[in-house]
Amino acid sequence: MSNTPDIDTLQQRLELVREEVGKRIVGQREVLEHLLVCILADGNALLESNPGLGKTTMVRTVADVTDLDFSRVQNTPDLMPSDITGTEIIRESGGTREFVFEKGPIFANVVLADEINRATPKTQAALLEAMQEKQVTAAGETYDLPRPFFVLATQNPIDQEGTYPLPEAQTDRFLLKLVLDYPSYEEERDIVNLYTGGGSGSTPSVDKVLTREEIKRIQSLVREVPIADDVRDRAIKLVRATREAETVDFGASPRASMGLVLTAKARAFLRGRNHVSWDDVEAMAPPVLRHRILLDFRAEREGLSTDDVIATLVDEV
Amino acid sequence: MSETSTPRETGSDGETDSSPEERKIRRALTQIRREGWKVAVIYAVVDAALATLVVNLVATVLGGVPSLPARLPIPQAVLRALGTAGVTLAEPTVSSAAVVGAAVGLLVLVAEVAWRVRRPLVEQFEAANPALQESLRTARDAVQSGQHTRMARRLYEGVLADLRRASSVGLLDVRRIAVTVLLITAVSIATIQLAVVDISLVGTGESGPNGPGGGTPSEYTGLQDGSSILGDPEDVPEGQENLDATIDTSGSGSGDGTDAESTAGYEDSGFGGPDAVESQRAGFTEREQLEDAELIREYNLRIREENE
Repeated sequence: MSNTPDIDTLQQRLELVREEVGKRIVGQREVLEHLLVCILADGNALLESNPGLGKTTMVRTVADVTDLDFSRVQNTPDLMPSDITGTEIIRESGGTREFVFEKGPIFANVVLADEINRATPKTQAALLEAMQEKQVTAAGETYDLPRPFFVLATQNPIDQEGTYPLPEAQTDRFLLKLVLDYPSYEEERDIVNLYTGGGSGSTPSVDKVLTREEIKRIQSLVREVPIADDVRDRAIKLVRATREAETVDFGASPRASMGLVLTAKARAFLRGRNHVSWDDVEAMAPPVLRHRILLDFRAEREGLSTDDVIATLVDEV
Repeated sequence: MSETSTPRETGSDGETDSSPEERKIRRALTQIRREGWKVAVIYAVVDAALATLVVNLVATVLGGVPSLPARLPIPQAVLRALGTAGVTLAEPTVSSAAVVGAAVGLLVLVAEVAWRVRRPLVEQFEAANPALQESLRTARDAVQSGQHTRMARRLYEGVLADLRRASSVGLLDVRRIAVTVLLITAVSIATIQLAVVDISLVGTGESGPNGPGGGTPSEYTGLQDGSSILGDPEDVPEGQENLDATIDTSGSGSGDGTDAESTAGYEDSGFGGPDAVESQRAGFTEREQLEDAELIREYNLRIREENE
């Protein structure tokens, strides 16, 4: 009757995932946690960082330890939508020719869309639509994307020339926006030692500790994590406060409220708890809200970042 | 595997279709509320006792309760009830200070209980047990909304395990209760002391057996205002009549009255009657009552003559 041992096992597996990823990724524990939260909440993440901070390695490692298919799309201005979603090709078989749908790189469990802001709006829209609908339609046929499905799109905060910044409506579709920062000196030293020392010099090996079936079960359990009424109401008030704050031009949508509660549940599960704490909401507020609000000129004049404004709002609600 | 996470309908008692863990949580919440009531009553009782004693003490020291007589009659119904219970009161009255003290105490009791239970008792328990606060609150909300999911059941199990280790003692500020009990003891001692030494800031309102109070010592009516007994000060009018005053002498004094006059005076002083002499007035105890004062007087006269 009791599902406790089963749930305990799954939570232990998630802890193992962290340990395995830690074999390759030094530091960045918060970003890794948020990445796992995003997967458990069945969402997609927008990752912003300068080049060379290990985002590709992190995502690939998560795919490796979780038995998930991984594909990578390097976005460029000449990338066509069909290059991502797939296209119909003529295939000769037994003297006959037939149109066959050749699946694009989006047909994977984990898709890393590198520098998404370099793709044209048309290609961006195709990718994000597939990400949202979790299916692709080509030549009148609809193809379901594999589950679990997780897109990690990256964009570079510098060198914006020749890019197509994602419109707000598109960024709102990402559950989280993660920001990678440079590692500390000690972490960078460990990274150097890890990848330049040793015998073969290749990336450290990791074990698969979580199956895709288990991920789907966890995703189902995450939505069942109970949340107290007052914590939920406070989370909603926090999102609504972004629409009323003086320093915010455009606030977050109700989708942000759903995302905040869901990611808080995922974080609680990831941390082995059976209920959502306000700490979960507080921790998930910046990644959930930072790409969903636009600051007005007063905030910019005062040098406030979106994270500063969110922190103020968290204190106020 | 596929269990719904949406709340299910529950019956009016909230117990319909609930899991054993849910029922246990409901029972635990009931128990927590009961503990909250107990704590509220404990606080209210000690505070009410203190209020009763303080009001009684203050009223006694101030010489009674204004606009109330010193003693109030006990209703016949109460006397009958006491009589039925085999309790007999020496007097059918009670001190008004005590009555007012009891009334204030009752008011404090009711008001404090109402004040303490106005905030949900479970929330008070949560505040007293911070480690349990979020999980218990979440479980409470989950039970209220009838959640039967796997995670909700797991939460219920965890909360029940935590509740076994929790205590409602945290609801009770033992130091505050101890201080109040000490104050009660001090005020009680002061009240007893006051009754013994009969201190009054205004006056006892009693001036002896035939005093203005009109009562006997056994009919003590409490402290009274002297001005209300003696009246307002006023000028005494000069008398118009001249009266002759005669001062009797008694005993064998050297006055110039005859023996007969002396005897009459002696008798008038209260020693000549055939009745038993009141010990209080004669200055003798009852056992030493004199049967014939005249005989003693005769013996005295003879002894003097012999000496002369």
